[in-house]
Amino acid sequence: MAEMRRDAVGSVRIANEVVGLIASLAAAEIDGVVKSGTGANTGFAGLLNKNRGVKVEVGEREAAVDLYLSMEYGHRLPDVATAVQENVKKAIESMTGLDVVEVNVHIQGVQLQDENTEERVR
Amino acid sequence: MRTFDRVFSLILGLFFLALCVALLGSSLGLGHDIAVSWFKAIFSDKLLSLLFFVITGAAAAYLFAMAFRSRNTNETIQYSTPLGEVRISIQAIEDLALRAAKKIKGVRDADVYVKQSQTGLALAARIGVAPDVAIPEVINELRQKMGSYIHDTAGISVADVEVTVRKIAAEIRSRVE
Repeated sequence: MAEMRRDAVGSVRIANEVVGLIASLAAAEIDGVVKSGTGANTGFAGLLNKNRGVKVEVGEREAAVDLYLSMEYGHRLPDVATAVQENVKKAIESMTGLDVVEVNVHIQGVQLQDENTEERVR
Repeated sequence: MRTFDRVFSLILGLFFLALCVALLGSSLGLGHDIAVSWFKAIFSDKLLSLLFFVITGAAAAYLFAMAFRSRNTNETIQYSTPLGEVRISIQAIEDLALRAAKKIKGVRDADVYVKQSQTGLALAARIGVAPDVAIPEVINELRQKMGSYIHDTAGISVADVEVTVRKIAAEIRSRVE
């Protein structure tokens, strides 16, 4: 649980899991990131996926995020990683008011895009 | 840890947990007869004994292999950015290298692994090639394209690509002419 922040009206406490969820969703928005719910994150294998993709450290005013991701083939990894860092930082800061000091991206693998999720254009 | 490793470890864990519960129950006098009759059934039935031999043998081999696995699967290549660190796992680089290798005309199958060398990142590829291809040309193309693909996609320079041709694939004969 994040440390409590007190203001004139009362206290505000943001759960680590909330910050982690915001980070995961922000990362998933980036083109080139394998979405959770595909490949190794599905079904029984998904239950065993130790990190579940994100680890956060949240203080009273600051947050640090570690993201464990798989990338899709066909995208330049440094560009995707930078886009993830920027989007995650922006999302957490705008939604929680916390200052994000670092967003570390751990690229664990590269896989083909799931053909079932591709739209067919006629 | 790969998904297969996790699933197999889970199954082994459940197996030993069941054994543990049976032994605990037996020590407390609970279900002792059931456990004994179960073990008697296994040891008195040759087919059942053989089946459990195969299962426990496979489990033992797997555990030994895990114990003596020398590669550090947590190795990463990392660089810093203003917003934090980016770490690319060795597995990710191998995935990219394997994809590049399989795109080369003349390469039927490939196995790629990364090794650190004194001059930088090095790749080792073991390939099977199609029959009737010029192997030196395939090797040259593989080296050039694999290195440039890793550089373009991951931003990592490859110092060396070592290629071993382990087999020539059998010619596919058409049944009709």
